[in-house]
Amino acid sequence: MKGLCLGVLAIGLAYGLAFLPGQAAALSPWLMVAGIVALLLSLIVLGVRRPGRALPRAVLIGMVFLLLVVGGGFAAALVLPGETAGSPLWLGLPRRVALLVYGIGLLPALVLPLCYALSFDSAVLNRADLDKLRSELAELASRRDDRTT
Amino acid sequence: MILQSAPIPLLRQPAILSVAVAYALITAGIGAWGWWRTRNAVDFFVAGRRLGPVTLALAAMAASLSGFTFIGGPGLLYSVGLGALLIFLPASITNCLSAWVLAKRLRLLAEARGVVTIPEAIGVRYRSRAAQALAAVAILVAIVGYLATNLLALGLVIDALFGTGRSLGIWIGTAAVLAYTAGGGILAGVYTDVFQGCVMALASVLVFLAALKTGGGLAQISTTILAKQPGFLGPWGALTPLAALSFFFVFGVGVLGQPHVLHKFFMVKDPLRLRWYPLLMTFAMVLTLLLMFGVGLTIKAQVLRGDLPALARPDDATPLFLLRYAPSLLAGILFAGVAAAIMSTVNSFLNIGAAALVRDLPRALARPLSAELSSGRLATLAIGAAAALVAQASGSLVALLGVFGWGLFASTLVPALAIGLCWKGGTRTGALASIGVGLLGTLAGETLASLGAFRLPSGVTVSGASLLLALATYLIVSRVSRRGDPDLDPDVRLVMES
Repeated sequence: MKGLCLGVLAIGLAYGLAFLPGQAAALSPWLMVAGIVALLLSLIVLGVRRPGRALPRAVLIGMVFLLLVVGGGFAAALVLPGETAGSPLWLGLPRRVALLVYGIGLLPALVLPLCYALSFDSAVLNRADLDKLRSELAELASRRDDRTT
Repeated sequence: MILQSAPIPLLRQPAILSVAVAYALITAGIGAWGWWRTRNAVDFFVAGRRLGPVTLALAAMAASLSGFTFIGGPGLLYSVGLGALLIFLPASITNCLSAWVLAKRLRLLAEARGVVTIPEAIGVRYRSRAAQALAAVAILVAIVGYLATNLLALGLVIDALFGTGRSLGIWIGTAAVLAYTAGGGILAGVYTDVFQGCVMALASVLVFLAALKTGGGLAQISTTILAKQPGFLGPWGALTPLAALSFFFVFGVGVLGQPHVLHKFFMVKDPLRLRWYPLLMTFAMVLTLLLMFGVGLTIKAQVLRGDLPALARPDDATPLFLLRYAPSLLAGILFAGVAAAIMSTVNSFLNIGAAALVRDLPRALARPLSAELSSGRLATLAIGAAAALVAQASGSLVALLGVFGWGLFASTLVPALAIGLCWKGGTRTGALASIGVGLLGTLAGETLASLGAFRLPSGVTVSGASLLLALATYLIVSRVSRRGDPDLDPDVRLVMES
């Protein structure tokens, strides 16, 4: 939850600084990138974490990958020099755009779903957990029925 | 819009007519089958909980991508440059995000409590009829705008194909979608979505390849644009970095509040088969989004080369490409793809709108309806007719309503639903406050901004600010209202911890 709060705070600051004139507003995109990354990572942790279990390795790899690709991609787009008529092309696109399109737009599409699938049993659901949950739910329902009757 | 720029109805071109008729017949056939299979409210609202991962992925993709992907998207890219891509780039992440955060929990909640709607899930999570009712109202408000803009676009497509005129086109399009949605509910909807999703992906890939060929390849297109307008190919295009990143924030995080997509998780037959959903969904989405990228860039390059005059309306990009550069069979497939994108979104909205009217609101008022299936059919007809009437009022009203959709869903549902189903510290008061702030913030903000009552600095959008405000409200109010908040129901706790 701390990461989520920090993400919200960073995006709030990014929007807040945009109202100020001059150099302060230049920080806004950086705060927005930090906020977006913090929000995405915290939401994943929030969704995957289960009581008494550590985050599976494939999920951690996915999160590090996301941090590098999204954080690094946007940071590079903010830092690298702008495009000119003679700018070199990477796979048909100028360097900064190539980082965004191939980096943020395509790479996660290949990597994250595999992390999800590979960690499904440990991070999401497996047959044993599902059977246990179903039996606990059935027990609760029968207790509820007993109380009703 | 530009589909009207065709000098004669495209119906007179045999290849286009053939594709349009084949598309309509197949859709009608699937719709009739769905109607025949629909026997009760569970069939009508959650397709009998029979979906496998491929059906789920294609139906969710078709529902989440509207006509904007094929018409508005390339136009936006043409006008503001590659900054527009930040609306769609999150798609590489969001399907995994929604699967990790919500897919399993929503599916298991459906199993534990028979939940069939998103407001119902919120109501069960917080043991609050008020939260369920408020979420249903937010969904209904957003749906009217979304439906009206999509039905208007469908009317324009039908007009371009058959020369019916816009007004009649809207009614014909509405009647066509209602014919299978009112009868077969979401059961008919998801299977037509599967067909329509395939048409969309096929059309997108073919048009993308045709666009690259027309422009001489991606490198040639880039070289042409860089020589004349290098800023267009910058990562933010004509937008400021903050504005482009705001797109990424709203569309990246906001996906966790889109009920027409999340609703599909209730329909999964076996939760263990969710394993491959993100891979299938992401693959289908990436294919379908290629068109926006290819057509937007190619048309820009052709204009800069002098092969085309500058577009008076950016939305003309796709139709102009088809009329000028694509063989008529490809044009026919793409027009079918546009119709498919619109119809698949419309049928999903009609169904969740009907569910809000006949299930969520009556239950929230402790007056559940006994005949939800027949009431759902009537509600679908009523919502469709109301949205078609709004769509007839073309112009600023429809445009304004269309702007609300995504942002309103995001700001009202992301905190209470996505965070709330994962975080036991979220409270009923926090949920009510965040839904209220999201609803009022988006409605008031967008309305006042459109009237010129205030002007936000570049990069700060009403949808982004409303989402942020709703998130902050949920976190803060939940912290301060924890004492006195009712305990979670034991079965809901089990689902949240699972």
